[in-house]
Amino acid sequence: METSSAMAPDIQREHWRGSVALKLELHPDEVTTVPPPEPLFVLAPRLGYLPQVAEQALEHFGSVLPPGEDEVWFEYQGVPLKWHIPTGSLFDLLAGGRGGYPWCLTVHFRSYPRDALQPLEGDGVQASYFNSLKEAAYVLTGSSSSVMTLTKASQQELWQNVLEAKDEEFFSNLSKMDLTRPTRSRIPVRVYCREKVFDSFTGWKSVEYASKSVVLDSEDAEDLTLRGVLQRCLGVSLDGEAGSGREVVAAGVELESDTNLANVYPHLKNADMWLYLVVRPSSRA
Amino acid sequence: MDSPAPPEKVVVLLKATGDAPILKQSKFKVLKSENFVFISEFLRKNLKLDSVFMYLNSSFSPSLDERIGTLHEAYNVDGKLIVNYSTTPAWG
Repeated sequence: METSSAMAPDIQREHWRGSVALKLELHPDEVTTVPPPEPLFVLAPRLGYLPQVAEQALEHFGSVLPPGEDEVWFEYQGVPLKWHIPTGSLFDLLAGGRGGYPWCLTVHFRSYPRDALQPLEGDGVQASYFNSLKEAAYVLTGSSSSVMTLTKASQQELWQNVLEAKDEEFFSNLSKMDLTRPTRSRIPVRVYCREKVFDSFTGWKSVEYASKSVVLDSEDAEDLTLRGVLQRCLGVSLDGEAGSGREVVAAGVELESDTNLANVYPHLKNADMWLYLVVRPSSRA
Repeated sequence: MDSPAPPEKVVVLLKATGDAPILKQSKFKVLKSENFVFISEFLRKNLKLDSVFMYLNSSFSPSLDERIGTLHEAYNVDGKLIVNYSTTPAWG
């Protein structure tokens, strides 16, 4: 590894502490008062999920809502946002690099778009997180048993560490599981690639998605570079004219095309043990 | 580098778990380019279920927008993608 190991905990800490500033406005259809409520400014953890700020939003907007059941969802450019993607990656993918900060989102508490989003019930975010962690465990160790055999109490503790972005406690809890001692030399990588403008016409159709279990002991070093992985994963090229129009970001940091992912993974992986890569149109173009 | 013309279809094995109804035929060839949601729609239609829970290798549920080809490449067992399905959550 080229990165000095002394710096590693610092990078990890900064990665875990990262937030996205959000400006939330209640959708006009759900406003019952004149004047309408003020927008809510809130910091959403990058490694967390959007519904985490729901409670704060409900406290702020709750009094003006029409009668009915509260089901929170978020909208950007007229498109409902998938809540199971970590907030930081959503921001990097859809809004990052285009200026405009804080990130302005519309929040809804009524008419959940069931045709566009997976339903969010009870501890749905937690369940989605653990499912993702299980999948990562399968890639890392060849079995999900390290996550499946967690007791309810240790699951709660781990989840609380994620919600509060406490990386030290999280990794100390995690070290009790076999996840930190991978038995197979593979790393789990999720790639989101946006080629076009994300708006109400294109929506999620403008985003391609693939996950990949990247084999580390490949003989060809090129297989481990960002360029190689993206090429094999989604057929996305970082070379030539097409490549110069794209940029790749992990945890808000732009990566060079010859970056070795094995070096990036330990520092910039998310709380579900996946490395999230975002490909988007270059902001320099 | 991958060869440009890999086989277009992969073998998917559907296994019932718990009290889920059993399919007459459990092995299928599915286009690599289909998304995982295709399997859920297939099961719901053929078994007349309102909802179905799906797991790979008796452990985790992949995202519905994952491609079959990608899942097969990462998680196949002896060349088959094994999907366990049930009517209630199974492997929590």
